[in-house]
Amino acid sequence: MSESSQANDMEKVLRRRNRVMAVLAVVMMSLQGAVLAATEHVTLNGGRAVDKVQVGAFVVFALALLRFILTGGRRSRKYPAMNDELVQANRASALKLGYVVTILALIGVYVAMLLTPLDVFKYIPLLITFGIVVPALRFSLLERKGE
Amino acid sequence: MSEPSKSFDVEYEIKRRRKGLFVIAIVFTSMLGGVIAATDDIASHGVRAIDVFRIGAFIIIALGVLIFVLTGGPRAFRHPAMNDELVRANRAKALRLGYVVFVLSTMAIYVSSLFVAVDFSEVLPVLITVGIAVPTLSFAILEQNGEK
Repeated sequence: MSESSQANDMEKVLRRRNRVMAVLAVVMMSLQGAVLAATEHVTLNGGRAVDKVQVGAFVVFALALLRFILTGGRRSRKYPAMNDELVQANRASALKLGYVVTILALIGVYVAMLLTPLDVFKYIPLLITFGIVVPALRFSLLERKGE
Repeated sequence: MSEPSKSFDVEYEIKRRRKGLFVIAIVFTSMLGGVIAATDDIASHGVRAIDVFRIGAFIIIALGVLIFVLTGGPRAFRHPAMNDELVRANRAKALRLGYVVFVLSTMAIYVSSLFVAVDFSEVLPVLITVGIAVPTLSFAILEQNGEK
């Protein structure tokens, strides 16, 4: 395989990873309604099996996306260029933003809880989603800019 | 000021910052008991000035520590060597660890709240403390390792 075709392959894989990450972040956000409903059912009446599966799937999906953000996916082991300095800097910037946004959101929920009666358990999945979607989208955006 | 004394100054400031980070993390964690008690008091007896003061102080310190960890403190603007590549790499590592620990502990709380009754007035300050103390300590430890 020639140098240029290898580089083309790499670019394709990188572009695909960025797109996949953005799509996964949007999918995770779109799960929110169902997860909130399932959380409420499970907490209030023990829940049906389908609610437990929904909540379980949300947690597994969140963990998988978290791992994807932290490692850059399986292919970055095969292609070291998928995890070069620029990618690492972008990832660090994305994680920093995700961390700050999530901490500030949690402090916001805490203050709101003191001022008004609030069902905090409803906001916990939202916090998890924020904590994972924000760095995923930021990483995807930074990588796209780098392209 | 001559060159050697300048570099000594920066080293001294970096060491001071590292010690400060340790102290701040410990002080911040030690506030937790008082904050949980104040949150409980607000829930049971309504809002009293002393509880508002305690919780307000906790939140202000939390935000202050967060800004300190993110920027490296006000002196980092004056001495660029206090914010060099190694410091930035250490900070990125610390924030990454803080982020992962924070998200995972939030998930753990979420899953356990589905099976057992969780008192969120106690859990939220713990989560905030974990989320801020972990990267602070981690940054201080990484900086200490860099000095050796």
